[in-house]
This record gives sequence, C-alpha cells and structure tokens, in this order.
Amino acid sequence: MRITVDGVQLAARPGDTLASALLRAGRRVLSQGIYTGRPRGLVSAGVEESNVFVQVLSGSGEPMVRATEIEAYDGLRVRTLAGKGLLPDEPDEARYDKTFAHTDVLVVGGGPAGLMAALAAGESGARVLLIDDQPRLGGRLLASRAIVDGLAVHDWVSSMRDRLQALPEVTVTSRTAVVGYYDHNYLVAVERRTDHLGSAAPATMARHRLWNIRAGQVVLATGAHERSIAFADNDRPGIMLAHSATAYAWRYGCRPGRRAVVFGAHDGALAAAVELADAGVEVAAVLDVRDVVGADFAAALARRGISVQTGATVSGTLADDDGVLRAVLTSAGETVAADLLAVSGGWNPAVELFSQSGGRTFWSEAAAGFVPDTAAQPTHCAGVLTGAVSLARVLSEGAGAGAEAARAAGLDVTEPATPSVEGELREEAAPAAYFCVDSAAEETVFVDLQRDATLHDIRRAVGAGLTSVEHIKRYTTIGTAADQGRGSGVLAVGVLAQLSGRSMAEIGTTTYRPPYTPISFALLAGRDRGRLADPERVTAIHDWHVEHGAVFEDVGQWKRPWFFPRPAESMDEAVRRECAAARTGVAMMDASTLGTIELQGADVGLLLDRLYTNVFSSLKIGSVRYGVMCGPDGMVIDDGTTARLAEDRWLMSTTTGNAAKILEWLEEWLQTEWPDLDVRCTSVTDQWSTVVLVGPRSRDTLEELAPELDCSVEGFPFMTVRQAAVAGIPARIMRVSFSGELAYEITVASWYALAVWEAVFAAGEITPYGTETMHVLRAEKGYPIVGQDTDGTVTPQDLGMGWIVSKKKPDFVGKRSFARADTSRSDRRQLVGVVPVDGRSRVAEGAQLVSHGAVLTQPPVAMHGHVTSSYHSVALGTPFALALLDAGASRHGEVLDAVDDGHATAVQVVSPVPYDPDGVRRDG
Amino acid sequence: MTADPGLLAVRRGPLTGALAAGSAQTVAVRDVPGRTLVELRVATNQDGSGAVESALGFDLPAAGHTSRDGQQLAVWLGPGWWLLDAPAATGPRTLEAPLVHRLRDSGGELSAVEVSAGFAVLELSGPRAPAVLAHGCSIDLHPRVFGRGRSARTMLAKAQVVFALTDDAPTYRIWVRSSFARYLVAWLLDAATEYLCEDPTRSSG
Repeated sequence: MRITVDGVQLAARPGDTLASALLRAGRRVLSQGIYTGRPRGLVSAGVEESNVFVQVLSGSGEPMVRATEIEAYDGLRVRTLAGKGLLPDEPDEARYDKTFAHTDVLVVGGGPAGLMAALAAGESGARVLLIDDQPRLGGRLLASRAIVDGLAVHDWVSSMRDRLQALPEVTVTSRTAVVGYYDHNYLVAVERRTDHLGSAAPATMARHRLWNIRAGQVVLATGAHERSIAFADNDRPGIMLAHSATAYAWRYGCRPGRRAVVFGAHDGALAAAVELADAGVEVAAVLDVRDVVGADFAAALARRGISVQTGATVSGTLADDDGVLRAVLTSAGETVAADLLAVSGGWNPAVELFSQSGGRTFWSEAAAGFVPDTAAQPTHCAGVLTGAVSLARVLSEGAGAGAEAARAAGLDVTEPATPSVEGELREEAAPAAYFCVDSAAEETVFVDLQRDATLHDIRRAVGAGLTSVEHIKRYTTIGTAADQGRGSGVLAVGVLAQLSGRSMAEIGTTTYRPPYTPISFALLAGRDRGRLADPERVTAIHDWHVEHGAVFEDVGQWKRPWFFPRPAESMDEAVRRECAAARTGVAMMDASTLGTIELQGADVGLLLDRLYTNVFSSLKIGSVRYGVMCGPDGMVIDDGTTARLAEDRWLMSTTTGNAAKILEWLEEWLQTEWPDLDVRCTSVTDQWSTVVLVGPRSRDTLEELAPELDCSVEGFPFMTVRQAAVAGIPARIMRVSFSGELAYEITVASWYALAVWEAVFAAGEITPYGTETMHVLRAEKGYPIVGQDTDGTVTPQDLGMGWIVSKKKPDFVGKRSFARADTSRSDRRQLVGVVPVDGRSRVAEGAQLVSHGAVLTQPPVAMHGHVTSSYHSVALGTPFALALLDAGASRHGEVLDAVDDGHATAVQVVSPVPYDPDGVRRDG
Repeated sequence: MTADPGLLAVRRGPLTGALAAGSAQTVAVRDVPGRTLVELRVATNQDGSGAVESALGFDLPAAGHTSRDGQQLAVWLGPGWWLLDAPAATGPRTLEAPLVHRLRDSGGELSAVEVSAGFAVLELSGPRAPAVLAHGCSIDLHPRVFGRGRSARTMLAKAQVVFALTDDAPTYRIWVRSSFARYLVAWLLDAATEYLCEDPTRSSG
C-alpha cells in the first residue's frame, strides 16, 4: 500500500494506522507546538494522541484527525498540521446517516472486560450491543503476549468473536466510538464505516453513522489512558507513552526506537520495558521514581541484563539538530544516549463516559488514578476502568458486570467461567502518585502539549490566587484542546497537588463533557439536507402549479403558488394582472393549505363560544361565521371561518401556518379544563382540498359547473354552505370572501382536487392566482393576516374589530384581559392604512413610522409604529400598506415618515379599508 | 351498487405516479391506494366503544395495538381514538363514505370523520424494513417489543406517521398525511439506499 504524506509517498502495511506507517518510515518530526513552534512527534498510539493531527485530503477529506486513528489504505493522502485544522472550501458530498438502536445491555469497549461482559450478557439471551472504537476487537490484548485459556491472545479474541456472533441477539459494532452518555441511559455513538476502504468505499454506503442508543443497562469497559510525567524538555519527538511504544512494537510491528530509556512510577512501566527489550529495542536505562518496585518485574528485567534505577527521575533531555531526542539526562547526573524515552506515570481510568452519565469518581491511592464511584444510572463498570490491573481480574470483572447487567435487565444468567491466564507478571508494588519533575526550566515542562501549556503557566495561575482546578483550566487553557484533556487533565491536577500540597481527592477533576471525541456537523445533519432538510408539504394540485409555471412561496412547510407569471412577465406585472382578474372578471386559487378541523358533538357551539370572542352557538345549520381567537392575554392568536354542517357537526378553518397549533389549543382546553364537554376534534386539512373562485363573474362559472345548485343571491346567500356536485364531483361550497369580491370556496376530497381544479380552469377565461395576489386583495379590504399584521401584542380592538368581541357572553378565553386598563388604552398600536404622499413609492414591510421630517441622524428618534404589509394596489392605483400605529385609529389624515434602511418616505395615514368600505361587491 | 367509473377515472392519490422505484428483495415500498379511512373518536369519560364495535362487527384494539377482521383494520391512535382502514367503498361516491354514516348512526357518543383522501397508505416490507425505519424512528422495533399487531403513532424522520406491523415478512403499513406523502417516500427511498443495492443472499441482520 502507498500513502502520501505532505506530497511524499510512503509504504504502509495492512493493519497500519497512519501513525504506525509514519513511525516505520522513520518520520519523527510531524507537528509543532501551536505557540512555541517546537518540533513534536507521536506521543501515543491511540485516542490520547495530542500532537500529531493531519488533514485528510483523499476520499471525503477531513479537516483535523489524529494520525493514530486513521487506518492506512492504498491511496491515502494527508497533510500534517501544526496544531490547527483547516476547513475545506468544498461542500462535503459524502453520505452520513443516523440510526436508533435499543438494547437490553450496551457494552462499551471491546477489550478483555468488554468481551467477557458481552458474552455473559449475551448467553443469557439478552439483547446485547457491543461497541468498540477499534478496527479489531481485543483492546489492550492486541499488544499483549499473555496466554488466555491456553490460546495466544489473537486466537482467544477470535474465539470470543465467534462465540458472540453465534448469539442471534448480540450485535458487535467496531470502529464505533461512544461519544456521549446522557440521561435515561441514552448514549450517542459515531461509527466510521468506509474511511478505511479508501477508493473501494461504495458510494451508496453512509460514510459515518450516528447511533442513538437507548440501553436498559450499560456496561462500561472503557479501559484506561496512560498518563505521562512532566519534566524539562519532555516534548521532544522520541518521547512517548511507554505502552504506546510497546503497542507500536507488538501490534504494528514497527520499532519505536533503537535505544530506549524507560521512565515510570508503577510496575506497568517496568512491564513496558520488558516488552520493548523483547521487541529488540536496546533498553539503556530504566528509571523508577519509587524506592520499591515489583520483584517479578525487576527479576524479568534482570534476566535481560537490565537493572532498574529506583528513586530516579529524568531531569531533562537533549535533542539533535532536528529537535529529535538524542539523550536523556537523569537525576543521577548521567547523560544516556537514546532515541526513545518511554514514559509511564500510571493509568488514568477512562472515566469520561461514566462522569458524563452523572457518576462520581474518587482518587484511588491503590490505583493512583481517579476511578468510578457510585453510578448515577443503570451503569456497571468493569476492567481497567475500575483500576484493575491483572488480566485475570479484568476478565472476571467483565464477566461479572455482564452477568449483573443481564440480571438487572430481567434475564436468568449463568456466568461464564473466567478464562485462565498464563504468562502475566504480577504487579505487587504500589504505584506512586507522581506527576512532575520540578525544574528551573519550568517553561519547557509541558503539561498540555496541544495547548503548549507548562508548569510555568500553572505556577502563574497558582500565584494569581487560583485554587480550583476549573479556574486553572480556564486560566492556563490546559485540557481545552481537541484531546479534551485526555493527555493533560489528571496530570495538571497532579502538578497542582504537588505545587499546593493538597491531595488529589481534595482537588478533584474538571467536568467531563460530551463529545468524548469530536463529532462532525455533517454527521449531525445526516440525511436532513437538501430536499430532505424539512418536509415540503404539497397540495393535490401541486403538479399542475408546477406545470403552469407557478413561482412558489414557503408558508410554514407548505409550498404555495406565489404568483403565476406569464412568459417575460415580472412579479409586479403578474400580480397586477391576477388582481385585476379577481376584481373585474374571475380568478381561482388553491386554498387547500388552510387548516381544517372537524368538530363533532353536542357541545361544539359551547366550546366555540368559549374560545372565539364572538357567539357561535346561535349559528344556524348551513351557515358560516367568521371568528377571532385570543389567548388568555386577550391577544389575537388565530382567525377563520367555521361552518355548521349539522346539529352536532362543525367545520373550522384556521390560518395555514397555525393548523397544528390550533388543534392542540382545542385539545388542551378539552382535555385539561373542560373534559365534560361533548366535543371531539379531527384534523381534516389533508382530507379536503379547496378551490377558491373569486370575482364578479364567478357566479356564472359556478352555475355552469354545478347546474343543480341555486347560485342566486337569495338562493345561496353570503356566509352559507351548500352541498352539490361540481363538474360531477361531490363538493361542499361555501360563500365566503377574503377579497371583498363575490367568491366561492369549492371543497372536495383531495383525490378529486386536480379534476375539479382542471374543470374550473377549463370553464372559461379564469386566471389562476397565488398568495401574493391573495394578500393584496385582502389588504385592500383591511383583512389582517394573523402572524403578519399581528405579533402577539395585538387585540381584536387594535385591529379595528371591536365588533367581533362579544359584550354579552359570560366568558371566553381572553375576556378578562379586555377589562385591564392596558388593553383599553386609547394610545395602543392600532391597525391603519398608509399611502405614499407622492402616490408612487412603495414602503418596505417592517419600515418604522416616525414624525414627518424627524432628523434621523439625531437619535433617539421616537417610533410611532411600523408597517406590517405593503403592496401595490391595483384597485387604488397606488401603493398601499397596513401598519400598526400608536393611537392609529384617531390619526387618519396625519402625515408621517416611513423609514427603511435610513431612507424616509412621506406617507399619509388612512383607513385600513380603502376599497369598497361598504361591502357592496361581495354579492357580485 | 357499482362504483362510479367517471369518478374513479379522475381520482388521484397523493402518491399516484410518484412511486416508481423502491423495490428489492431486501426491502420494498408500495402504495396502497383507495382505502376507506375513518378517524373514530369516542367520549373517553364513558364507554362509547361498545356501540361502535357492534356497528363494526369486531373489537377495537387496546393502546399501541391493531385489531382486524378480514380486510378491515383498526389502529389505536390515542385514548378513545382509532383509525379504521377498510377496503374501498363500492357505492356511488358521496362526500363521505357509507362506513362513516353507519358509525355515526351507531348511537354512541362519538365522532366518525372521513379521512380517506387525507392519508397516503404505504407498505414497507422485507428483511431490511426495520433497519430502514430505524434510520428515522426512535421506537424499539425488535419483534419482542413490537410484534405483529402492534402499532405506533410517532415521528418517522420529520413526518408524523401511524404504523403497524401487519405480518412477519415483516410488513409495516404506514399511514401518513397526504401532504407529507411525497416527502416520506423520498425519505424512505433515501434511507433504503444501502439496502436497495444489497445482495440479499449476503445480507446479515
């Protein structure tokens, strides 16, 4: 396999990460300190890497990824980064998706503890989801030479995988990182599905998948991250975590150095020294800060001719011309030539997810680490996470946790036998809680490599009087980089403890927050992009509109025709033509989006009396009434017409964007306040489609289409409803008007909507119109649109509709508020019309109304109101706008300035009903 | 009584002509046009369902379930609230189906509302159907939890739907409001992308 790094080709082997390929190729300097510019190299082999990030250029690309987490594939191209990622300019066209998953037991971590937990739970018959972030199961076993159940670790892991796969209710997901652990055992994971396939990745396969997991029980077997020790010049390439060095040697088959010094504070560091020696690395010195070390390890090293210097530390390092490690300075005053310094201060149990779940941690002296205390959710911890060290104990803890979880999930469990372990050295000497070798060169003692933060910074923070680790984190930025403090968090606590003489337990850790590893916005968006970003609701007549060149407007989720331009016609011209047709001839509109609710029951009239401001219970069967609905604060929330179809059947219409809200409003009152009322509501918005027929000639058209219907003024009066066949299709016809003209709303079952629409269109020279014309027509009549001309602070009286507020009804929602002094103020903002003084200028919607001639450059400028709707009125021959104006009802005739973007237009306040104020046109 | 051929000829469902693709051995989506759908609500403060059950000829299901009688299916929507899904009526077309009138006349304190044209009825079936749903539905669809006869009213992607498991293929019948139908089909076909080109002999659970 060939990979390309900064334009240079390198060889890679199957199973390599980018990091292991780089190391094998002898590339040591791979990054630089973000502030200091000091050369940096790999410090780890996994998720704790804090130095080497790259930008992936091949495939879908990725701006900033750890080199240790990229699986090498043929054709991989990357460029190294110096601390900061780069967002590409190109849109990310890869596929991302998400899925929901439910399980009885979720096991996080596919190492020895996780495998045993999954097996124990899985054999009980529980639904088990085992999630592991590595390409291969096994965790730390992959770099181990232990014999488990008589098998080499790789064979044992394979046998475990086979046993798990044989269980039908067990799902194993690799390359998947759990990044968040939320309430009610809800966890979020990120699966990397195709990155390792390179150009072989199928285009149809989602690259990354977001898992939303709901688990009955969670077993955390997240292991631990190795902790470093801070000392002078501890950031040079060649200085690496000890077990990462052994992982490179034993898992990836690349030697991390030729001559090594091992520096540690626990028996695990000595174990690493043994592994390095056996991998062919010359171990020049082993330094242990402790006075007493594990006898097994000392003996094993002695057999290899290596002695352990106890009570010894690293006092500094020397570099070659490239800045790469060439020698280690010891506390005994020696200079030891080495190109690898393997450091291990101890293990930090990976408590991040446990902490996110709400669990508390405590400092364990025995483990020299923060370990899980009491869980806050149904969470079970096992393995290295709990501070366990020996493999035998890790395996038995895993089995125990899996069994406990399955039992808690209600299953009968037979715990599997714990496998035997051979070839493991016994760790018996206590670890030391040791963090930092003090040095006069404190600005080179790095605590957070990614933030270039040092012992000096912590000392300054302490000197400034900061004591809380949270404050010190923010003062020094330690733990705020992309690694989220995995490499530096506990180390900083340890340094602080050393500096301040306080205990680890007293200081505690900073808060761990999701995500555990970074998560891309593309993944969060998933498939909800482009056409699928939000549902496009369409009417049954939508395709006709498209075919006839409609320009669409988004109204809530609906696509509504905005206007129907003819070839080469501008929007203004089209709207003018459509308006003229409606005022002088006949025009038609698709009004199917209006919210429609059918109400049935003996008490519907009573309910409507309580929710609308006017009286509905007196409405006769076959009649229609307009109503305004207010909230308890007396402000308008909706309006519309309601027809009484039968004694106990009513049909309510709401504004297009409000349908769901009003249905919920009705349900809320019925369910919580008036459950005694005999009323049931059903949404029928989608069931019915409505064609509006408007204009002085609309009666002729309807007569032609519905020959059985008496369409005369007397036979079919305003605000009544009839049932008849229209073009042979059963229809309900209402005589209502939102334009002031003679108009009919023809309603049919939606699957006949297109047929009726086409029949109407074919009936004569009928002009289809869209929402813009509808708005102009209604504005000329001063009909407000709730949500456009109102904003939740407007009463019916403010709209000049005091007539619709009943004085007789004992109560209705909002009535009490009309008794408040504030709602009866005469200087409230009230609906008015405004026309430009010059007769030509159209003011902007949203324009502020100020005193005529007000000097705009000398704030404050008193604002009297604002424009809510503005159009060119064909009927008036001038632009016309609706506005809310302080005390507007008493200011007709006044001249004001409408100001938009610094530009003032003189306007005159007029009645909001400039067209046909006496309503003589509605009968045609 | 026979169906009015003139009316049937002009009838157009929300998915007419919109569902050409979308079938493979692993998962298939199909339109189930022309069903008679009725939303039924009975007063919850009294037992209003007895009269309805007599009129229907079969029992209404409990919460989260469906019940059926031959080609008729009842789906629980909420307390005292069901969706009835019956074969297309064959009488002359009126504004409301005969079933609506029959229920309304059953004597219970109830509402029966015709919604046949208000929903698209879809069937999603095949071994991968649960996986497709799981891309956009947060409900647990494991057969132990959501077996045959179970139903749910929930969100699927960004559309409110009702769905029920009707056989062990498995087949899910999905009811979605007509105006959302094209969005939902586009979403389903997109969610099924990986499975539509999958080799069924190699698919794993």
